[in-house]
Amino acid sequence: MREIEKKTKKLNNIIDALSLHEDPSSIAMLEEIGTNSSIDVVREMTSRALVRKNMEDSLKVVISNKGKGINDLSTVVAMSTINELLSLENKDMAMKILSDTVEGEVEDDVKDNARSVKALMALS
Amino acid sequence: MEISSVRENIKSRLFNSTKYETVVSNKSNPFKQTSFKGNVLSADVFESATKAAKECAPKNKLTMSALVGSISNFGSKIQAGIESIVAFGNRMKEGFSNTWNMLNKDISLTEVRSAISTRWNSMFETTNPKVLAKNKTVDELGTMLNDAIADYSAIAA
Repeated sequence: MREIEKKTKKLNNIIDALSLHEDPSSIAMLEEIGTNSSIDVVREMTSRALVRKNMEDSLKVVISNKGKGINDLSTVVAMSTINELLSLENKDMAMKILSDTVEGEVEDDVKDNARSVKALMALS
Repeated sequence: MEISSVRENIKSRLFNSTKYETVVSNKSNPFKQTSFKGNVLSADVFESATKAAKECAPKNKLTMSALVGSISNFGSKIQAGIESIVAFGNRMKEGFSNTWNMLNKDISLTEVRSAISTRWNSMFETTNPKVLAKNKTVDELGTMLNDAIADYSAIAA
């Protein structure tokens, strides 16, 4: 296995471990280190991990924040996050956060993205 | 036979030995039981020295002188070879001496133990997410994540 693949796997495992961690502070840790990283791969992994956590605080990070999750400037990161949202078995919490974002006091770009994703999730 | 004739015969045999030796050598073989299976060699089977000398023509002499010259060169080559062996030995000795000094200076038991311990721990270090989530705190995972990002950046850059 190539060295880069080993490092990527290790990164992914640590981020997954944080997403599985019962401590609520793991969300803040993922947001602080992962979603603010300059590396696309790290942001992508972190956003997907936060979606898999499927908690109110974790979903708010990837739905309601500008430049993070579905609002990331990287298309790959945004599309991966949307794909992970569509893959959720229980979409209730995600739908609630999306609705709150569309109706909330946030920038128009964020609202538009939330509306589009909400429509996609309703259709899926 | 008379005594005088016998005396004459003995005298002639004593003073003209070669005359009788050829006859004797052809007629009897004192080593009959042990050599040549009883066959007597009556002819000279060895080449004479004069014949060999005749065959050593001027051309052959030139070759022989070249051979002798090359043999004398062998001496210098052998000497050079011995010198190179001595130099090699000195280098080996010096290298061994340096290695010995390094062994005595740079490596201590503590460092060896530390190196073995690190290798041993790395062998059993797991990055299984479930195990990590169970055994590590969030802060520890945060530190690990920072290190992993730094490692990834170093390779990806």
